[in-house]
Amino acid sequence: MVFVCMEKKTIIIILFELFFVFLWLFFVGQMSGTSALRGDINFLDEGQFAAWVNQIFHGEKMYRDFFTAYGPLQIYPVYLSALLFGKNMFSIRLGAGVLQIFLGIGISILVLKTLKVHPVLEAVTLFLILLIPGVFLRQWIGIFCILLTVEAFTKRSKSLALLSGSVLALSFLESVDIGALSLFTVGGYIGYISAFRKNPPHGSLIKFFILGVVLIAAIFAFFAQKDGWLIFYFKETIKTITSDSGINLANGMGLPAVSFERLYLSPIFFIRFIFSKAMLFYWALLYLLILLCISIFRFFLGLKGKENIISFLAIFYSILWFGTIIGRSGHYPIVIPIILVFSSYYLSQLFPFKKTNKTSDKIMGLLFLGVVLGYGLRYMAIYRFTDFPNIPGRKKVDISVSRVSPLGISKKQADEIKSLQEFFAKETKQGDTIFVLNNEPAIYFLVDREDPTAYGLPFLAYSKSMREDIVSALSKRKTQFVVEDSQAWAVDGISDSQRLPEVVSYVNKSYREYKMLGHYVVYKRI
Amino acid sequence: MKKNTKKRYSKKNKAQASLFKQTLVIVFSLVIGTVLFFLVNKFFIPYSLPIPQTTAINWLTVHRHSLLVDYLRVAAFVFCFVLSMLGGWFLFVWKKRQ
Repeated sequence: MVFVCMEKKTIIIILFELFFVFLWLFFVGQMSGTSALRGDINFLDEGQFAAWVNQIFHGEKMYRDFFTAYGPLQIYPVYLSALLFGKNMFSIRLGAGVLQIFLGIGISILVLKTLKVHPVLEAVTLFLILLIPGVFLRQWIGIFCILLTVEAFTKRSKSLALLSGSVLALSFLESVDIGALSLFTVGGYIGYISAFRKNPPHGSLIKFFILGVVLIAAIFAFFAQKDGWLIFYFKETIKTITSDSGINLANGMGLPAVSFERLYLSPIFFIRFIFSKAMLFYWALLYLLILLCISIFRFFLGLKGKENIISFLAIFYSILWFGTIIGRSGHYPIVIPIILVFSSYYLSQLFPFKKTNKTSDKIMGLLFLGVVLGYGLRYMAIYRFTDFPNIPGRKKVDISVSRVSPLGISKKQADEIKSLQEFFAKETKQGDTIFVLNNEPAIYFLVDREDPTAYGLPFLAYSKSMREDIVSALSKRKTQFVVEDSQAWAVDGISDSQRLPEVVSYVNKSYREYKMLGHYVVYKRI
Repeated sequence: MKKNTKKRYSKKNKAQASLFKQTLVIVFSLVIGTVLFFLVNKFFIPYSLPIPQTTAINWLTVHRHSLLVDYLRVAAFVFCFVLSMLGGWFLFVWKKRQ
């Protein structure tokens, strides 16, 4: 419906770009080294979705039987993908990765077109965000909501107001924090134009906006109630907002350390520090603040067009969102595509340097362009050691692994998965439960066995009562096998044995070491 | 009348202030903002705060790290930079108008 506002030629270009983006993500992928068809499985990030889908297939319900801080709109598409393309990791990657990134990039293309970014800058921006991992629907749905709301209230379009209200409701279902920040941003905008604009929007526009929210909320409530998890969704969501934050944040960490002690050693050391990976978190925030100030300057210069309003609101929303990652600063890459898109908008205002004859202005314009490109390239440099591009046929991979194929993975990972599958197929039967002591929930999906606990990612059981819930579930379901990866990644440098003392103590007491499968240790109930 | 004044102000500012000058103002304001932030961090933000009572085991509790201090630091960072950038630019425009 947003296409209604665009010319036919622009729509064709957008569709062509979307087609290209999808093909790229499907066959080549981003610099993280995975595409829809190739690349090793991330047992944690992809694995959590795989485990949730596995539990749904085993008759369990979201929020009621297993814990997740994500909205249903992040989990259900993955489940639908598995229904459509089969119970394999290809479906999981398609639903949890490719689709989410594709929709995020799709929204960024719409933003670039709406802001009328210079074609050269648009191409450069798209190139960067297509390669750099960071775009996800989760963040971009909020920007889509802002875009639609400004369009609706600028054009006074009831249909767009209905759509923007619907997208706001969907953003809540994608993620509660994104929904709340979107509501705050667009609510502030609607309140501002209603109070201060000379000809405020007609009441019917706001009614249509609210109708959009109610419509999606009603459909969701009906579906969730019918499926039996509506009340659990609200309970878990309130708990996530109130209890699982602050000091209780399971993956909470301090800000990246900044030490000035050794900066006096040499200028090279100083430059390396300024552009170090740890400092990129602060660069992202500084960049956002500069963009915010530019949008405010432009506002005071009388540039109050919808493009400037969209930019201001989107940057403001991104700064608010940045506030939510203070305790988990490693998530900052998610704002980088936002920075690149809106930098390219402001740059495109300078790009036709013909407007000015001043050499100094031309130099400044080129300098800004260099800064934006340099920023994007510095971030890309982080991935310089990844196996990119990961295209089919480039190297030998194993595509024969059950519940993974047609996704091709390395021989090493394939052998590990096969040995786990063979062991659990022999030692257990359908309906049996196993417990993975580390944060590698993909194993449940790969060996097709149920998780007796509510925590596919055990580190999320941060409190004593939650850890005791795990022990209680193991005891109640009489889980026969516990798997421990001796090479597991310790989240934030805190090992699982350190995080889960009650669980480890119970395993040591009630289980004995039974078999070694590579670096996996299997414990059997005594 | 008010609208005309605003238009004139915008036109005048755009005509007079080159991109180079405006950039210099922003860079200079950023330097001021940096100094301001380090002063605020040094004299107003505590090094640490008491950790709330919890049974959680995570990086924050293992390292006895107060997340509230981090929030204060980021808030100070945002405040100092936005204040200095906007303040510097408005001061520049005001001086231009005179």
